Amino acid sequence: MNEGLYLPRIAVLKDKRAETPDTITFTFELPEGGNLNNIPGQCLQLTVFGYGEAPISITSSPTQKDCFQLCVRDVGNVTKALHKLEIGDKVGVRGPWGNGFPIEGLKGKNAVFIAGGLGLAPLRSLINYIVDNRRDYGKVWVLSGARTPKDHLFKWEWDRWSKIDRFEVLTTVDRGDDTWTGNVGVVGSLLYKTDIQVENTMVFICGPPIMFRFVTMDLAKLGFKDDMIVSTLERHMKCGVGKCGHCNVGSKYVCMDGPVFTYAEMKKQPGAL
Amino acid sequence: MWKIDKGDILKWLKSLKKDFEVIAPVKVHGEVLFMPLSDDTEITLDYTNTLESPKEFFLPKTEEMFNFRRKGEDFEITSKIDDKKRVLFGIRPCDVNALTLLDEVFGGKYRDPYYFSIRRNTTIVAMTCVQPDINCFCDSMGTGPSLSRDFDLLFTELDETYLVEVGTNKGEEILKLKKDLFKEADETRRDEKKRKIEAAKKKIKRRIDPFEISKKLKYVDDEIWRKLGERCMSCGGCSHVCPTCHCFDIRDIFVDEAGKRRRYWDSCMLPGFTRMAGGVNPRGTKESRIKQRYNCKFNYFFERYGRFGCVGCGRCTDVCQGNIDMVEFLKEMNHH
Repeated sequence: MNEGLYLPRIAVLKDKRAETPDTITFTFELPEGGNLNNIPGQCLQLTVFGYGEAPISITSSPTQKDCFQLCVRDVGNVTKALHKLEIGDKVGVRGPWGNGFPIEGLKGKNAVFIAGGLGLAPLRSLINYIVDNRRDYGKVWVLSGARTPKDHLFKWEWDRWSKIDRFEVLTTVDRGDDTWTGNVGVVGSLLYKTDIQVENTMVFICGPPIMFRFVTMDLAKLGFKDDMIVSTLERHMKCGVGKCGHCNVGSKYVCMDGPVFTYAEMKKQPGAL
Repeated sequence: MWKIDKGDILKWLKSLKKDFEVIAPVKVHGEVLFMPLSDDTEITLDYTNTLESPKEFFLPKTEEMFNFRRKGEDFEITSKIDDKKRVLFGIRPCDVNALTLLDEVFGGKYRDPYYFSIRRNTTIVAMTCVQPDINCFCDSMGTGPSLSRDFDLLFTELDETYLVEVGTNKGEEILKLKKDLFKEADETRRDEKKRKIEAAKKKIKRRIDPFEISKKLKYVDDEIWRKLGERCMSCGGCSHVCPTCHCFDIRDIFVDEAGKRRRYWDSCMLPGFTRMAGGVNPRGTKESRIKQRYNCKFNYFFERYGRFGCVGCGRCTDVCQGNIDMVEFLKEMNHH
């Protein structure tokens, strides 16, 4: 019997770290130890008992051995309840689900990460995977944009990433404030502020649809091919295993066949973009 | 090959009730529905197609997935799998084909434990279709009116008796339980069956070419979808009666420190089906939903499982509040 398909395992909340006024990074441990053995880019179904289940991308890399992390904005019933949990509280998890980023295909190549707001959460799993397997990968550019300085996620990672060999971190905001001395403008503008190599480079984009549209136009101008541009799709998801039908885009299920698709694949599926 | 008299079928089914829950077509207020037989229900053999498909006996309208209970700091999760022995009697070829499509959906890499436990414990007694309904087009989909596989037993109504063919050991078992009711049938009955099927085929007036349609559906004008969408009431009735629509929602109920997780039938025709937390809805319009449903049946199912997702039972046309006639629409669209 394959009952485990739908039965959550228990995980324990170990740490909460406020990223922005409405977004928290949660660190969980499994009572049996270890992590989720996730591929960067995969997601899971999180149960807050009494409230239900919600699909969440995993922000930690599997190279972080003893825990896993979820970075969540309080936008729905389950995520609002999650935000109220205290250290030591128990949740249920199912997964990890989905294909994940192409960690094998990326070997020996450079990577550009383009994040808009919360989009940095799923990308961080791959960024940290590259950090921990540095020799396997080429040059890395992390371009992160947010509406205002206080909306930036993982500011505490910027310094660490910048110090890593062949890593470049560029950030921007739509609107600055007194504390902000950095770039102001859309995240796509960062592409022109540094010398990004097109050849042998894959681009990973996560962010709102409008950002995706403009960034892909920028990338086309720079000469990036559609099959070198990778992103994740977000859909309402229930079962996580390709049965319940909620997350389909064309003949693909985001939960099983995604959430990671190349731009070329997205263009083929009706209603994906 | 066996035969059984019409009057003896009921005797046989009643005798099966001792060991099985027996589900059969029953007349309720003039409609024929599949229902578990009890002492005061009476089966009917006189029907075209049931109002609802028998999918609810494999994917219940509401199904409990597990219970959870707070135990101090912890949560205890317990689940039970339905392993009741059942006999489903009178399922038509279109619905049997739908069932094998559901097997594809619930099988694969992630095998659904709830579905397959019920499926394994249910014996399929199929019925060759000799009385197609006005909206039927199974012949075009290759799913009826006859059936050559995927049954445990197959009944065919002949002139004064029912022919019974055995498909599996599971079928043989339930036949053996009341062997004296079944008489051996001679080879001439095969010809009689063939004639019945030919006559049934002639009664099917509706015809489409699914391969042609699948190609064209991808390029239908948004304006045509918009017009069709105007007639849709977003009631989800088509999915409800459809034998291959399998979408479900999952919800928790939680009272007094204990809860249940259940799954419920859902429909891509309902406005909130794809709505995400925060309110973004990729298919927020009626036309986008109806376009989804038709393409799901004639393209996405095929791309995923190598078979069309429609078995031509005609039920969606029977129940549509906006008088949307799928076959008519597909034919019109095909001429555009």
